[in-house]
Amino acid sequence: MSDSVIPEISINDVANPVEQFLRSDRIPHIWCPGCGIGTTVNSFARALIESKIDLQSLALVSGIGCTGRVAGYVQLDSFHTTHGRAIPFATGLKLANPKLNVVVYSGDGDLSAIGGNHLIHAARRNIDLKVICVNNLIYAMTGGQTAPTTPDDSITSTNPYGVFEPSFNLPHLVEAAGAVYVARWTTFHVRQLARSISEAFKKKGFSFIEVISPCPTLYQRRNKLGDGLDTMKYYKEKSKVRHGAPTSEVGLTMTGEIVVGKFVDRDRPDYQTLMRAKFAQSLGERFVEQAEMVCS
Amino acid sequence: MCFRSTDPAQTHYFACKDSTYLFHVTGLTHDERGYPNMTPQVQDKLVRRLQSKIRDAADRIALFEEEQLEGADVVVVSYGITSRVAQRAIEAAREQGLRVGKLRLITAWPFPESKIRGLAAKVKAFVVPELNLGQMVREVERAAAGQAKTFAVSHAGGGVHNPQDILKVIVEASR
Repeated sequence: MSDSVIPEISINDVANPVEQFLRSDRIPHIWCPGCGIGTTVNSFARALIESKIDLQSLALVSGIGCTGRVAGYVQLDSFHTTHGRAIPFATGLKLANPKLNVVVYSGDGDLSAIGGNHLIHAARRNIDLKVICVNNLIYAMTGGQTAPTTPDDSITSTNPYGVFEPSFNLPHLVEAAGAVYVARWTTFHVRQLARSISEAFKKKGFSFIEVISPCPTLYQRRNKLGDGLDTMKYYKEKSKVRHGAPTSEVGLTMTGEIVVGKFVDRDRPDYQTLMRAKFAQSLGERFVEQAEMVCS
Repeated sequence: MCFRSTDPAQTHYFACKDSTYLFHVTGLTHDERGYPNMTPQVQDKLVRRLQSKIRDAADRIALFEEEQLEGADVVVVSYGITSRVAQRAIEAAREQGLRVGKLRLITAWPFPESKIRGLAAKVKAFVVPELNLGQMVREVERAAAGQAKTFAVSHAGGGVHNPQDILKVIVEASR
């Protein structure tokens, strides 16, 4: 037996590396036990560390919904905008100040339903935005209604006999619309997700990262899929990493395989590059580059 | 610089470059820090503050165009596309020798309440042509507070007024 004593460590001496990215005065957050949104925020914060991105030139924009609340918890310049309008708001920020790195952080309902038109047109224009879409397969904050992403046969508050309308396959949608970077992970894949976010920061153009996340309160419960932990086990067992998988084959079902990975990584001139080229071509010497934003 | 102040006298600045202040806005009911707080108390404070920002500045920011209000018997209050039609009716009335003033609203809200109230003490009547069955006319009536009559010239839309219809009411109002 050794006499050595393990030194006591006070909780005050232990700093969580992601704490600096959170507005600690806002804690506790509103998310339910077992919800995956907090996990995605952790991965996002780790991506900020990993990528060493300049926080002074980073803005985070979210819409309405459970994921929309992320904007209120991150220690960054953050904007909690109106329902579905995170992408147009972010587009405005980027156009006004092209040097900003603009992240859109919102849910599947906000991004693909209420803001669905903005999603496809931002991808088509290839606006330089990093979109993180937390997909919990349902409208969670409003009480578990069917969303455009809710898989077939799911029980929801608006489809008590099961969903019968086809759902969106978001990676396929945004790839078809023109996104240059498309990846999908689940909240089980915390490191892979952080890496994808870091990678997206290096891309110029419309990047879309879908994160499949549980809603134990409404989706998992109504569909008897267990709690947050059971869902983690499901993600672990049923996720298949297939980088470069054709996005037409990555549609989701309620209990089936979840194809994850980086599906699209391509280059295409972004909106502002095209705009400058067109103006320079048409206006010649009369074309003046946009002045830098100055505050006074 | 800070935008958090709730002092109504203070301008609310945006946070600026090189500032360590981190910006946050939300469309939800929020407290002084800009964070969501959905209690009726915070809602009351917020809505009253936002309202007062507009109402307290109404005389400064309510925009309108005026023409020959001095000595007018009747003032035509109009806004939007109807103003152009009203102009024709006003001119026709003046050709008949009537003393008609024009008040074209540029902002719908805040409403130039004190302007209307001041005029109401001096004129016989207001004529309010609008492309609906009577909305702004109620505001004019309220601001006039019985000091002058108010006549509506309603139109259900799908087209614009016939200037003749407005002229008829101007003539009636100036009697």
